[in-house]
Amino acid sequence: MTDEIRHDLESLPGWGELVAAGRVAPPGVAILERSRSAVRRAADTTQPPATVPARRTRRGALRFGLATAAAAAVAVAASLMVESPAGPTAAVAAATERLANVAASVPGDTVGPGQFRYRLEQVSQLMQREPAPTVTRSESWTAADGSVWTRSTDPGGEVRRGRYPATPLPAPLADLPREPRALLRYLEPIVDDTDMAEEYSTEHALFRALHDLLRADEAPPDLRAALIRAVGLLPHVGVEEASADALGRPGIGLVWHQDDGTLARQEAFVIDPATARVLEYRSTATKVPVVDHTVYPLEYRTTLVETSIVEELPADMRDLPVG
Amino acid sequence: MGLDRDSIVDPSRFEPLVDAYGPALHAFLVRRAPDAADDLLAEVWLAAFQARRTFDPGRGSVRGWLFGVARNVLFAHRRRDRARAPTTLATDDDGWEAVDARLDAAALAPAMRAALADLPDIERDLLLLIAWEQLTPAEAAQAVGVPAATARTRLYRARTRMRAHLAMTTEGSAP
Repeated sequence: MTDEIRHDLESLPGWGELVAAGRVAPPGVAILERSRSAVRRAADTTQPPATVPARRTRRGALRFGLATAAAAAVAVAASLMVESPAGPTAAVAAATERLANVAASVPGDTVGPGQFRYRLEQVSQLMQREPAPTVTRSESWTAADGSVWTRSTDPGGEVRRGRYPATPLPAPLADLPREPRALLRYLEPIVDDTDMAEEYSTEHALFRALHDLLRADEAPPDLRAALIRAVGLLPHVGVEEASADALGRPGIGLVWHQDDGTLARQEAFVIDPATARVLEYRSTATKVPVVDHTVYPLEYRTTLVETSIVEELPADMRDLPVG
Repeated sequence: MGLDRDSIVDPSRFEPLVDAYGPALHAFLVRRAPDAADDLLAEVWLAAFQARRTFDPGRGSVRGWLFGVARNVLFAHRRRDRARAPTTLATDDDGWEAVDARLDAAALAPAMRAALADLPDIERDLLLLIAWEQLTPAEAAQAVGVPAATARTRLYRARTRMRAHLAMTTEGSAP
């Protein structure tokens, strides 16, 4: 968009005078200091979630090999968890066991040297006061070492390309425990050492981490089964047996509920019952403050459209700098 | 200013944003609510801090997001003002009066003022965010809270309307 529109506007007769009419004197030192003080006071009274001690941040340790759409998914929803003693229900246990059995029986495919896992996703965001969601086409190519190339196309046709280095797990996927409780114990200190732990309870961060590992499609079948069973062991998780993704494909939703009193949200990933693949991640606001200055995201969905292993990058993606 | 989501979420790293963007946000408020701008600026920063977790780098820049917060604070201020005003004096203040007063004081050509006055609010808001705040069209879309494609369409319409209005005025005043 943009340069063309700006040039169009700048060519309007009187545009320069209009711009000049907007000139104002900079604010005094005292005015800015009032703002700094307001922020400082607010920051001083901000506490981390009660169950999560502040720790050293090591960003993205679990978010290996994922497209930026996944990072955006993390960004849309955030609030303090209301801890409850709710444990896994029989329905959740039954659903995750069923999906785990499917996952264990479906052969995996692995990205080999020189190959890329291509993913085409539809990213949909609906904000308050917007009549319809903004839908972005998001593509990613993940190499065997976890490096990612991304290309997103917004509804106006604007294309953004990026290339990101790998941020691998501290241990190879093959070495991760296959026993679900051992897997959770293994992952817990890792998620507590990421930036997720500064905003979410450990259990919530584990829910996201398990989703990320499943969604990345790199885990072998027995590990995928363990990841799904591990989701079923987390508290606060529910199941939607008759869920569907944005494309109308039926699936089973594994749902995380959070509610801080004024803002409530559900995060879910929808799993294909036939392949145990993650079809969609979605975050839905179920309650937002009535009076607020903030425009809240009402719904965010990342829906897998297609995935395959390809032998090369498209021509327009080959020479991007890492960044 | 190179910022990522962590910069805006981390309380200790938030305060430098005031230095980076405070003057521009203050100017935004002065242009639209000159009498209240000094007070509203602190309100904007407090609202931004409280809402910092809703910032999504996938939806645009920190700058566009902050102007969106400022715009919401400005609207809330106008609503409060309207609620306080006696019924007989209450006006449907969409903010144009303050802007028009500024244009008048700057002796902007009447044709341009009239062309701006005739624009729908959203088109005028987008256009002024570009002219005065020097936002990119994508940032202006983010600030106003509409998709970038919608903003592009509205800006093209605004440009067309203004060009037509200015041409008509010029022809009308020709000897």
